[in-house]
Amino acid sequence: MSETLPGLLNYWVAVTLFVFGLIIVIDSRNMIKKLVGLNIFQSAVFLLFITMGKVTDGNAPILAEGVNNFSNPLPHVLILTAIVVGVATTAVGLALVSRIRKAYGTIHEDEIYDKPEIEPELVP
Amino acid sequence: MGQLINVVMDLGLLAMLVISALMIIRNHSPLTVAILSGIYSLVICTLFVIMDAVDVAFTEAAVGASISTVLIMAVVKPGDEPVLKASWPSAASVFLGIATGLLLVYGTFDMPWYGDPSAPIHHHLAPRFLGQSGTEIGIPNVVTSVLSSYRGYDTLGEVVVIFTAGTAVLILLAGDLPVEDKSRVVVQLASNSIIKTILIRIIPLVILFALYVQFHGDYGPGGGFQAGVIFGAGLITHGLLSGSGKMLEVINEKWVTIGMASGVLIYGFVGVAALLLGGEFLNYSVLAESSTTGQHVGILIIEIGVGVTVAFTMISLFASFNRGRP
Amino acid sequence: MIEVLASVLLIAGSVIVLIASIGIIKLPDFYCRLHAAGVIDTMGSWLVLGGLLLLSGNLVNGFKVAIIGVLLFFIAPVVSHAIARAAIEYDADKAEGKDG
Repeated sequence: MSETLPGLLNYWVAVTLFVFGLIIVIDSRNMIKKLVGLNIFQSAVFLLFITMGKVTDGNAPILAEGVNNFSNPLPHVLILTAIVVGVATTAVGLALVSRIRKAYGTIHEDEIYDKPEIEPELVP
Repeated sequence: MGQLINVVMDLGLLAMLVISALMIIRNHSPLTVAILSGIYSLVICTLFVIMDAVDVAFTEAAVGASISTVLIMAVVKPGDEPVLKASWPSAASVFLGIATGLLLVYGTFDMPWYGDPSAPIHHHLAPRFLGQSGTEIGIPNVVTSVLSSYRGYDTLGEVVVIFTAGTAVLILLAGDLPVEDKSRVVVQLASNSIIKTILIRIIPLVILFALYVQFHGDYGPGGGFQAGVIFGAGLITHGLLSGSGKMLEVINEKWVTIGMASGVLIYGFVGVAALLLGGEFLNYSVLAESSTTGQHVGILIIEIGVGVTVAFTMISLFASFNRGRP
Repeated sequence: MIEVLASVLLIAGSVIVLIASIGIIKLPDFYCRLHAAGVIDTMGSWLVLGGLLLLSGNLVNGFKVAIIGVLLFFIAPVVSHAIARAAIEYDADKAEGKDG
């Protein structure tokens, strides 16, 4: 049991970051902060996967002379895709925030809920 | 002693990660949150390096620490500053978060320990890829060979996702005024000759580095995505210095959108060429006489396609967000 | 021998970064804190890079480390300058607590 702490600590830190991301997404008043919270949420999952892929005394998965012990390359491939997709969704989210600001004049959710229904400007 | 230093470094970086996330929870101002998220990305990039994920660390540094921060800053306007600058979250959300977290921690008790070589994921496909990618594909970077060749279909989907995101942002922000050169912040930077003098000479080095990363992705960390992001970042720096108008004088808006699409088409064309030459879709072995040369040719061309789409999408995103600045 | 020298350089760089970080937290004014941050960018990074240069195995890796040092030499003062210009524009209060 004395080895559990370093053994599972990375997973617990990933869970902690997951919880922080969840708290930011639920609780923040500000739409841009929600998107940053979503990023933290995603990166907690990245940390979880990369932790699973690490092998003790392994090396980076680049074949070289005299290197025999590698870390698992499959989580790396998955997370590389996930990071780029994450930035793509963040960009679309920011574009949505920009349009909402243009229609309602603010990015703070409390003020948007208080306003009556505003017809968003149509593209001329 | 070396073990102790490793453990201390690990613990220190994990603590920094948790503390920066806590500061993001507490702070409400969008600019501060953007900078803190850049710091967070840099710390997690260092953690990835320690965990032997060098390609992932490269991508996270290029994407999370630079492009994400710049995009958030391009959207934030001076009117967004909240009245309340910092506060702790409400009790209900903290309670919900802790409840979810405890459930997840209960789930982690069945997982293999950190670094355990006898974990199940190290025993099915990974030994096959690590052992045989050297002979079947012949490039040293196993992550690139898995990403481009063994799992090339997923990477095609990823490139299409990036293209779709760029297109979606174009559609969402098309109604704004065309790109103007008079952004307030930009005039400040451009009239300042110190910043411009140095950075004008650094940008060509950045673009050269992007090309290096693109073609060196077979032998070390790198590849199409990182190269596209670095290329985009170089041009975005030019846009930050002199305005999006000047950036779009380097590459026309029309060519930016053509570039976004052409990267996806290049990727698809390689797959179709493989079909026409008698193999399956995206089977590069039939592209040349010997199977390994075919793999090299296929990986080279699709990485170019990926790099082109990602680079032009980043430029297009920045230009879209900077439309209509007074 | 080389490893001892490299360790000395790395430890010296880390100590300087630690001192400058304490300065960033404790100094009263925004522009004083910017001075401390500038120390990290120049002195701290050059000592650490010097240690890494001694520890790099072959000439190519050492060349890459040296190039990082040269680029930081040019870019770090520009970054401090840009932050100071933005602070003047944004009117960061002098000798106030945490601001920006």
